[in-house]
Amino acid sequence: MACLDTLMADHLRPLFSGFRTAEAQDEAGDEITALVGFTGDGGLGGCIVIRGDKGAFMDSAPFLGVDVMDWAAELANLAAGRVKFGLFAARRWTIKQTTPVVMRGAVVGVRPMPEVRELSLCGPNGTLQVWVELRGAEDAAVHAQTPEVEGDALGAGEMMLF
Amino acid sequence: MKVLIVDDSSTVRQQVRMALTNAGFDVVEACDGAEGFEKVQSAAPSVVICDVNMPRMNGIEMVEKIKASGGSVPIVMLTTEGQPELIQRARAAGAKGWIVKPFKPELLVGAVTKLGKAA
Repeated sequence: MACLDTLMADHLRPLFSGFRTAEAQDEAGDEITALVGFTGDGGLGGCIVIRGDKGAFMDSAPFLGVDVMDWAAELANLAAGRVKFGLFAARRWTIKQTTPVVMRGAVVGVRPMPEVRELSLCGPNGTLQVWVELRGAEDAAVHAQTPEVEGDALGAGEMMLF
Repeated sequence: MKVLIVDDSSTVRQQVRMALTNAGFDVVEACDGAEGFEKVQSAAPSVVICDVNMPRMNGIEMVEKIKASGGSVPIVMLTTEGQPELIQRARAAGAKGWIVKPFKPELLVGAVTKLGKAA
């Protein structure tokens, strides 16, 4: 897209005036990271990050021939949905989430922090690492403004017809 | 019977297409609420399956727009969301059902069959 080229050249490139342009690193191209952020009332916030190589994501795909970037985004979405369901079911906190961001070729790591939990899952063709960060849970317990709503949350695979 | 699937994920659209074509339905696709609204007018589906979180126009906005334009096609939301306030918003907008991903194909086919017959 021409407008994107102009945007990069005129507005973004000057920010890095002391830098030279690096060659694209194709060797790292199979590393994929998907991220979904979430926020709730009472200062609650956090994110879900799923990292792995293409083979590991394909191991978890629902069928052959899936677009791996699209599937990584959907997998992060599904993970966010389950975390939100867990928080609502246990504490009735309402959470809003971002649309997924998927990066390819980026090697992402997360520093050990008290608010972060990691899960490493081995499949036949690679390992998926899942990080969940949850900040402000103690404040949220005190200050949450979740409105009273009728009904329980629906979990994965559940259906309701009106 | 023709079914419209509206979802920004090509993976989900393919999953739904496989489940429904195996059950004998015709399937048309749209990748966001704005395109979904256009396809409701142009393809005249008997049932719509629709995601909630999508770019350009989200699923609940699409339901509201279809109903505001006089459309009566039954719409089922298919989403990772399961919070009751969202379910209530969709119901108030005119949606006929809510399914939380990942879905069971037989559940989806059953819902589409039931709503298609009732329409």
